[in-house]
Amino acid sequence: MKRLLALIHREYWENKGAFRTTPLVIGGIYIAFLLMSIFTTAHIDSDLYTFKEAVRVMGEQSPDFRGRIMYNGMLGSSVLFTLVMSVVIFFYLLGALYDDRKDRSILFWKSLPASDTLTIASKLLAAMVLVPLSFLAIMILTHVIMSIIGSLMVMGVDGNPWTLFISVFNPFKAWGMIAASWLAQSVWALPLGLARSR
Amino acid sequence: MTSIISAKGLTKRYGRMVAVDHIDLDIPPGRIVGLIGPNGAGKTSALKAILGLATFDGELQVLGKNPSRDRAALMEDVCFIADVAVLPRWIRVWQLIDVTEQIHAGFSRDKCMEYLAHTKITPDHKVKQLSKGMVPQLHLALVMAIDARLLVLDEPTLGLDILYRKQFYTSLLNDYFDEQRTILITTHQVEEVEHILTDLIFIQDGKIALEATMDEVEQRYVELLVKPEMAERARSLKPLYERELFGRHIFLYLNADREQLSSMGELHTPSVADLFVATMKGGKS
Repeated sequence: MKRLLALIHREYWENKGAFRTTPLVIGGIYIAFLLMSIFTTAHIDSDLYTFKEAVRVMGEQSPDFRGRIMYNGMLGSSVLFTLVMSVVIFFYLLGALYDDRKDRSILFWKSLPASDTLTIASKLLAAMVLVPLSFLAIMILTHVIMSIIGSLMVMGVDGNPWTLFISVFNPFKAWGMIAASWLAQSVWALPLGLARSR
Repeated sequence: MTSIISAKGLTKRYGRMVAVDHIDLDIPPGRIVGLIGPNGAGKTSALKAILGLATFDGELQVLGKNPSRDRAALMEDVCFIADVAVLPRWIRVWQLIDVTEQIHAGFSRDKCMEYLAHTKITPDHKVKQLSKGMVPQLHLALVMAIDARLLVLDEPTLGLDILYRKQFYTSLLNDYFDEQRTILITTHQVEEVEHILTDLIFIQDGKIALEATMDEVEQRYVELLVKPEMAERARSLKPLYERELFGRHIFLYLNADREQLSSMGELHTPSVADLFVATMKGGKS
């Protein structure tokens, strides 16, 4: 178990850019777009009139309706994460067994007492568990930051973010749904991964 | 004492080509064995079989295990440096130490840091930032910190300058080697290892051309240096090999009468390099 964890850790170190930096960049893009829209609105909109109206109209809807909007918004914002993640996993698996051979470092890895089965298991687990977890954690972080910014905006026009859009739905349901769909995806793709490792 | 490596009829074929042809080997513990042969003689194929990196025919046991079946278990007691630069280039030194420590039960972090303290390598260096000579230093520090019974070195110093090469073998000999350990070295730079070897194996066309301890080599082989006028007489005593150097003739004899020879000129113990050339040429004719 210790060896397997060490090998997975090694996959993380080797692919830090793809596994960690890439989702951070996506999260950054979402936040940047949010801030940009706020600043543009603030610049054009006198006294944030349109924004106030939007908050008012939103407040008039039923909590159930607002909850559905939030829930679908979260699922929608996961699309970019999902798409990029599948590209990351595809290229990771494409190179996972080949790169060590290309730079001949396989001769070092094979000098360690870790069996080939364990090594392949570590790469498969990195693709199926480590990458989705990393993307999920950073996506959740992005959602939280965006909600904080949104809340500050609502509070700025004397609204109550808690009753307006936070308490109306359960974000864990959305995150759980996204995580479950990712896991289902990787299980569906598992035969492809195993076929490649032959 | 049981052997570290024992092979009977070890054979490696690549399609129709036979790289290793029915080799018998028996290497006891506490030796430094030089496996020496020209390019394409089958050295690397033999090493790959010993390290469990390739399949083979015949019988082969390393530390009592079958390398192609039990590679992972075997690597607990075997270390190898296969070529100069096989450390992953993206990794940082501390990550390399971490992962080796987690996977290798016999690894001592303290020892490794101690060896590294003598070099310019720091934990934050990436392997690709290290100079060509520092990478083998790092690899050697890692390997010397592992309590292994067999160390296999395949051209460990190829392309390094002479300072690094000397230092490499000095630390290997002073800090690592003892009676429990066995080292198997292949190299083309024979001159540099001949003083540290205890055993010599020449391999040619997949077969063993010579297998002897260094003491046996000294007893069996003798080199005679004679002036040109004595050359004809020396030639009549059936030397293995003859060459000329600065107008003097040098002959190599196997199991010759030393008293008879010493009357003709100077006697020397042949260097491994000369012996190698003689054996390879002799084998061809």
